[in-house]
Amino acid sequence: MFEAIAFYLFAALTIGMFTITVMTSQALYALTAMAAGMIFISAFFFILGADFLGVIQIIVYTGAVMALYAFGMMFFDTTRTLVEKRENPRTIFLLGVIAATLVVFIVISPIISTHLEARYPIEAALGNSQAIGLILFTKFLVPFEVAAVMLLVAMIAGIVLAGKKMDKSLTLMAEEEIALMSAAQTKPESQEGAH
Amino acid sequence: MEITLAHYLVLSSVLFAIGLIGVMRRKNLLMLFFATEILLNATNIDRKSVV
Repeated sequence: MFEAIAFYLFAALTIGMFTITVMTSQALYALTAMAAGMIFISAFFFILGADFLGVIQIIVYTGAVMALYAFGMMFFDTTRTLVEKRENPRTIFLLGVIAATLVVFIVISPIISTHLEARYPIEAALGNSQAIGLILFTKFLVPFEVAAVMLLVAMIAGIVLAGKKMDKSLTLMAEEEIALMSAAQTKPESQEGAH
Repeated sequence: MEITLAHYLVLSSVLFAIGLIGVMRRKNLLMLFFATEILLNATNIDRKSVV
């Protein structure tokens, strides 16, 4: 009975929050409603008995992904529409079709073959975290390490992209130097805009 | 009232529909990403409820 109450309550809350996210005109309301909806979705994971996944949902989705969106909204101007430059639309279309068919074949391949065996059956004695750890470090060890390397590459790429002006440190310079630097930067820009 | 698998499937499809409406409606790039996140979360609920 409690499960039914919890399910309906969190279902109503989640649907309400996501409806606010897609319908509102203010970006900050959408961001806040989105973060609330993520937390309410983790309640479903707890109801179904996947406590590890529920905690991961809160930490990763609400903590990392929504914080990233908040920073993106702070620093970037998303009101301008993007203009993409496509040099070869037919190649792009062909590659997209090939990739889509590959994905479809990969996903429906268990239907075609019936040779499926469970190699790591679920034992009742293990908890959620232990079972995930057992699989992650034995069967999926190579994808785990590859994902770690990919995260490292992404971090380094982010630092390189953001560190274009990193040779000047704003906290160590005096106030006059910062004013001089910003005046020198805006003067050529205003001259360019006048022409 | 028993909460069966069908309940979770209906909930997941409702959330997927909300995400789809968001993707079609939003012209801002960041709001489009929000709606895509909603789609992903709806399918995550589905995956966990089947197990």
